[in-house]
Amino acid sequence: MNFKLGLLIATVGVLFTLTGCMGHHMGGMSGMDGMSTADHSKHMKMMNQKGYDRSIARYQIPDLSLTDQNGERVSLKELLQTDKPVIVNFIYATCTTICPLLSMGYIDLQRELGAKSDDVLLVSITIDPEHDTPEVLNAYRKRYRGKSDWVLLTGGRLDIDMALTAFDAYIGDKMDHQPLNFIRLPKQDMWVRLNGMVNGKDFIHELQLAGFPPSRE
Amino acid sequence: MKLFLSLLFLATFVLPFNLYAAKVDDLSPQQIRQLGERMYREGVLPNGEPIQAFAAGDIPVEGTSFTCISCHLRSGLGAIEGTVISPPATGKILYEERTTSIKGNEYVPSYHSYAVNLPPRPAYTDETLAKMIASGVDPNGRSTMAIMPRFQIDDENMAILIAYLKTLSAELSVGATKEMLHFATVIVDGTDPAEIESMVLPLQFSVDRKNSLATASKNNDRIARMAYNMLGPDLLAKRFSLERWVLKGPSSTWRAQLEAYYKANPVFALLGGISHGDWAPVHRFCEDKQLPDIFPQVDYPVLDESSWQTIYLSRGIRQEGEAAARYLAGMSELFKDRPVIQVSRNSRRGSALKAGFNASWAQKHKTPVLDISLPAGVALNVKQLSKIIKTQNPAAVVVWDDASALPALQKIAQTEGWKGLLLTSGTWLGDKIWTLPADMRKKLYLTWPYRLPHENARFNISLKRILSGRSLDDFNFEVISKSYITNEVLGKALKDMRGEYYRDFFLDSIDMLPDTYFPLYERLSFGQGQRFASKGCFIVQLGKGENPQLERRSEWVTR
Repeated sequence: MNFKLGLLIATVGVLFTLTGCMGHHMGGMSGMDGMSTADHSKHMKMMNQKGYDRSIARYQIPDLSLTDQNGERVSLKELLQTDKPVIVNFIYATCTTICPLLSMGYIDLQRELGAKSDDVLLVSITIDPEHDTPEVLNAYRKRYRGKSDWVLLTGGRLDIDMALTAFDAYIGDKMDHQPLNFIRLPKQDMWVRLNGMVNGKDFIHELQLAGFPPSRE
Repeated sequence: MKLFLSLLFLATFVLPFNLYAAKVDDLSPQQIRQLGERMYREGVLPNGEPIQAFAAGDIPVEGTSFTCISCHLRSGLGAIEGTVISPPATGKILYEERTTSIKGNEYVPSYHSYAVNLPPRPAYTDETLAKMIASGVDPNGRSTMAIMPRFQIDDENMAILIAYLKTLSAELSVGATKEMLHFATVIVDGTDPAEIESMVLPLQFSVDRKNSLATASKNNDRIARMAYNMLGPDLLAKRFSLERWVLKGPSSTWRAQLEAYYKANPVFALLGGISHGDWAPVHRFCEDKQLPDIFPQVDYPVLDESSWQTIYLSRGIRQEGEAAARYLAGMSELFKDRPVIQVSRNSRRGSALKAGFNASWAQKHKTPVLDISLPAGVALNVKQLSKIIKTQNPAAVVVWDDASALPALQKIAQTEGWKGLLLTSGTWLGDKIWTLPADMRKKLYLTWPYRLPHENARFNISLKRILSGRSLDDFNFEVISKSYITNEVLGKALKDMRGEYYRDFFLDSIDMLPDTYFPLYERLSFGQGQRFASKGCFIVQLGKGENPQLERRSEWVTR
């Protein structure tokens, strides 16, 4: 029963996403141009309820060598090929607006998961690699009291740009930063792309929509 | 249950608040400023304890990590990034009603974020502001963002904080008047006059340009309209002044000279400045007076994490040493356990490079660097070094010395049987870098903290605009480029400030600038509290031919 229900939720969730977010994935108000009034009001309702925009996309993760907050080299591709659900976002340490939101979302999720915070791998990639050395990122995580399964990555400017591009999140400048989170479940190749403010409960809701935790028979 | 909680909340936070006024009245404005500033900037209560706070509902955090300035900035005027806003937190703005600029705007859903349109709200009162800081509920009854921590501050201290917020960015800073913005540039006496000219020219050019625009727009409506569009209503009429503060004698006497200059003309900020030696007295003076200094051109900036007022172009000479160590550390696997030999001239420049190298190397490696010091006036002993190379078989030999070491380096590069990397400072070689003999070009690696010269051409076009017909060759290219950058950053920051001339906001506005691409530097980047705009260095070699170019051997290597 539980399994069927979970499947139903997942299916509805995917359908909902595919239909609901087709036109305006690219962001801005432009996506609203083609919408009817009814669509618009429905959309408004959705936006008001959730505070974020959701879409599904396939991303090709490049084989990049980045450095984590402990100064260890990490292959991005291998890191993301984990048997846990993984969430990726882009931050920088001296950010005063969006990154505190993103990082607070992460620690809120870790708090919601409690003892099970290890169940989800959180990854933050800096978009200010020249300033954000491993030491800076380590201090950043400590400041937020993030737990162990939050990995922060830095690297060469080109590699960071490739990572941004891979997630269709490239921005010319860190000051044009978007509040994006990307969720993927193990062994899947589709990512849930969340644009907006996401707290711990939202993350859990989204993970459930995607099928996590897997229902037990 | 909910009712009970609200009552509890009322009892805890709101009701006792009526009693708060007693203590704060006993404090002098200076005490309020001092105590309030500490709470606002550092998250520390008057009794020295950290403020306790809860983020995202109930995650306990320390106010020392999530200070008010981490989002609202020192000036309290907030920040905007992409589509997210940290709203202003100054009394002046909080105690005014916020209406929407376009009626009906408040019903348009924000697309990507909550705060593209800040919702209207009534003016705060002391009570509602205290409630908001403690509970995150604004006068509309709306909860503020979860990211805004809920701060546990008792009534007395809350009153101090609120009194401080009322003073925050409330009056224009010293050096800014209705008509004028006063600036000065600090010149250390004895600096090469050509360099001084190259440093001052761009600054004077834009001050003159600004003042003639102010005059012209007074007399001519068309120009006024153009200036309005370019600069906004306030900046268009503003006049600038630029004083040269020349510091003479030993650096121990500079403080008194600076005090005298400042007393006679308390400027809004320092622009540029130049020194190849000491700078610390100027740096300290700026910290003490809370006086911003934008991009002094100095070889040895003060590397102090807690300093705020001076924004440097880079970490100076030292940065080349740091990058060299990072570059070698990145290849350590190729080198196995072979040592690194570092030969450094016993001078301020040599020591800075060495210190940078060692500090950066130690972060990554336990293996010691074999240090050899060259006393002043003593040439590099080729025989001795070759012998050491033969016995130690180092992975790399790093030499921090000027161009006089080149003949010796040439011989060392040819040490029989040695396969290792030879590295030196590209900038210390000066013009001699272009005359490296052909057999050395493949052997010698150089640190280069700028964009490669041949890639500068298109950026130099903008530089030439300020030369009034003179040739770029008449000037020191590095110095004039740096000063040009100072100018550009000044202009961008002033435009962002929209007439709010507070020194803190000046620095905040620079911190919020996007990364920029100027002459000389590959990329300058900013961020709250980031005080070194260019953060890395290339490792290069000199190419072939009669008109050789520098060729990159690394990405932009950062600390």
